[in-house]
Amino acid sequence: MVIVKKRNFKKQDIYWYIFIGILILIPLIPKVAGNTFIQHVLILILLYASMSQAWNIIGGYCGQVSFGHSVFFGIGAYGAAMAVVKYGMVPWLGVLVGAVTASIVAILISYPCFKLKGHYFAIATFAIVEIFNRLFMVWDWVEGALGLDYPLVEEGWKNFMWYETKIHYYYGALILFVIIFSVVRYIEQNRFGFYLKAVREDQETAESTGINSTLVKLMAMGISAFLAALCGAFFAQYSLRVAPPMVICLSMSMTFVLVTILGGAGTFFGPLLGAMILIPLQEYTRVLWGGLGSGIDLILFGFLIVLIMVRQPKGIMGLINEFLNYKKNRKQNFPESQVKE
Amino acid sequence: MALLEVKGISKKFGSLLANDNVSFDVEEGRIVGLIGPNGAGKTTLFDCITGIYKASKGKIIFSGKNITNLPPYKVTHLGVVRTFQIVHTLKEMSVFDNIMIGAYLREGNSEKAGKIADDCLKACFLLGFKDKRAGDLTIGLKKRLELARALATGPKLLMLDECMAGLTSTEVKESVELIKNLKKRGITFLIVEHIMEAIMPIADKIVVLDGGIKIAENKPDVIIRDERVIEAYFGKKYSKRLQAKKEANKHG
Amino acid sequence: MTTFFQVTIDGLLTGMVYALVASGLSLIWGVMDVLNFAHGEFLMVGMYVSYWLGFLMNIDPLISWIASGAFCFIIGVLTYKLIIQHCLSGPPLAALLATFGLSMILKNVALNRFSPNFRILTHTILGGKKIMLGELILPLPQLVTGIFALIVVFIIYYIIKRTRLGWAIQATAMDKEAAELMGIRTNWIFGLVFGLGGACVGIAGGLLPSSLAVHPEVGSLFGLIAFIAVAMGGFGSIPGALLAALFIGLIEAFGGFYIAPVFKYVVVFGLYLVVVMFRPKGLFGW
Repeated sequence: MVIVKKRNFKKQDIYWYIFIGILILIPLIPKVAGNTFIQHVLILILLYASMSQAWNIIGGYCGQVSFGHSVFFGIGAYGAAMAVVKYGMVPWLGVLVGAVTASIVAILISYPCFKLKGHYFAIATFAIVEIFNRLFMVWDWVEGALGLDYPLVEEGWKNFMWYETKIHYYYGALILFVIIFSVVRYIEQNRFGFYLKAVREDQETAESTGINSTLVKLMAMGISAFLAALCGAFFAQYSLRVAPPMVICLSMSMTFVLVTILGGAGTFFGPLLGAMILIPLQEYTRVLWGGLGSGIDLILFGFLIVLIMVRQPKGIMGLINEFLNYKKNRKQNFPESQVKE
Repeated sequence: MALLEVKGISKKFGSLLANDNVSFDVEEGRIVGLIGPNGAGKTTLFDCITGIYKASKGKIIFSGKNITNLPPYKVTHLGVVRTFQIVHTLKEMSVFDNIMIGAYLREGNSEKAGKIADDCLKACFLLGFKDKRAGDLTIGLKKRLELARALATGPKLLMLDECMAGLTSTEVKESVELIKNLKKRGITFLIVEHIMEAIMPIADKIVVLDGGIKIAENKPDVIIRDERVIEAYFGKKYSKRLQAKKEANKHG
Repeated sequence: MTTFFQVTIDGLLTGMVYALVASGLSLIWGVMDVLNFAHGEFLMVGMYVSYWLGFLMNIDPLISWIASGAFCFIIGVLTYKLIIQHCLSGPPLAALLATFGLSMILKNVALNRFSPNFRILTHTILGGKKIMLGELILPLPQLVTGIFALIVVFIIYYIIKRTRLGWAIQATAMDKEAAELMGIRTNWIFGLVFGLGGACVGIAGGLLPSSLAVHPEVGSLFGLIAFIAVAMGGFGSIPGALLAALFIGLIEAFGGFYIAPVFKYVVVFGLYLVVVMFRPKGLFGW
């Protein structure tokens, strides 16, 4: 029976490798190779999918819905930016420092917060984002509200900076994407993933089966924050500018949450599906109708969220499962249709 | 030295004394039944032993180690596992995954944990339901699932809280057989039960609680004749009647 | 010393408005366990209604608050009927995120239709006037708004605690199924409560244009503060929300004046975290 499960995993693995292969080859398509806007959209899809997958670890699989992740994203962004802008170094050490710092901060602030239940916890995470936002605004070391602007540096992987084309950024985003998704895949198929789900389902029952739920939650938070910080670092290197309202704000936090929920929280492909729908919608409506302050893209975004929450809170993956179950039930209840097929 | 020593456990909720100086031992490899009318404090005692509640007074010694006031997950690690009166399965996960949660306690490797889970699946007669969503099972199957999950953690002492409630008589017989098989594997049992035909035949010893106090502790066939036990369940009238009968038999 | 009292007065007046906004939110949260993310946007809607009535038809906020309140009541009921009702059977997060989506819609419709410009009513009955208490300045619009807000809070509280309808609402809040078994139409109660929550915030919004500029983002901060106030006060407690809101108003004023304006809200949010560390269910929550 265990063999059957292994075979299922293998089938999914093959789809996954094919998908990565496709992603690697996409930039070779002439339409993509020549169009920086499409490259930009693809990069954002990969970035947001990665960010949301990082959030998914604690928010989706473990069920602790935190609206504070932009703090970790921001710390990662500042880590990279500070290294390059303030200390004139290559970003990589800054990225590492940022990720580790984000992880430590996450564990320290979430430990007391995990005592809180339901909406109290959610509101605490709002409070934390707002506090960090204000703190960064007045902190001179990070240039406060002015933010950090990237100087011109030599192009290439050492500095992780390119100006002429976005193709290299695309592959950078793809590497980030594969790293984060692989981490989550590993978690999902092994003990830690099961423990995350158990804590989400019923914490008291999980404890009675020997799970130290506080430790599980803290570890999930630490890993999630580390990965979110990596995404922040990429964002800084890509946007060439970092400021508190850009990276440490409630709207960025909400984006993490919404993309995951839209695709399906607690599922492996959810964050990717969510990003694949939301990012093109966001970018194309902004180009078509956005302009300055027309807000139509956000109106559509809002409608989409309402629709999904009302119709299928489990997101796109939920809709897919609904459809598959419907087909399975039809086969069982109507043998004639089975004969036809 | 007994496997589990309950020493003078008292638990107060405000002014309500749910457990009052309860003491008894559970010997290794035995089945001990814990009975008593509703509200006697049986589940509260379980909660004190497994760390869900902090006992107001007293000690719990397991395998020579003082486990009083340890958090539930630590108690489970040491080998004391319980099931719940109101069954708690992880509803959204499959039956197999539920048992895996238990198996992962001792075995971090997914394949080896899977083998343990399979073993427990078979032992608890759940083979046909392996990939079913746990929330969709009937209550009898859910209880068996909880038992399988508890079994997968490799327990030394299994504490079952009314695991027969809501089962059909066939299911009760199957569960009794299951417990007997598990006893052969060397697992010790402390079982709270109301269904007498299930617990009396298999228990090595019965402990009776009433109103938070232990009123009797003896072999099953002695317990059913104990006046205090009869009074606790049926009231003074019937215990008086029994006493009168005894007197009549003596003189007659 | 006068400055101290002045800051106190300013803080209390702001706090009273927060209290009205928070009470509406507390009602909704207490009865159906839904955190209405769009609550701040309801305030914005109320403010725009009052603004346009004042700008186009010269109706003073002292009268148009009725229209704002009624309009927001209807919006609240519609929000429940069209959105929240369908989310209640799903995970608790669904309703919260749905209201977030609603807040985005409302904010951006306002942005689209009315532009991001700050708009202020220039000729209101109360605008710009003040009462002097010795050396202390009591700005009239804020004073009237504040007192009005308190009155509405007390009326709501009275309704909840002393009327049959209020008891039905309390029953629904404590145990929906038991309430239904007693013949209470809980669905109807939910709609009414959402409407009342909206009305509270609509009334607040109706009076505010006398003293505050209207713009699409005006609701966001009020909304956030309302969350903090309600959570600090505790689930299901209107007195708790009232006290917490007043407290927040004071802290905001003192923090802004004695520390630094940018830290106003850091202190408020920080205070929430401190309170909730010691009382995880807020000050009076159940």
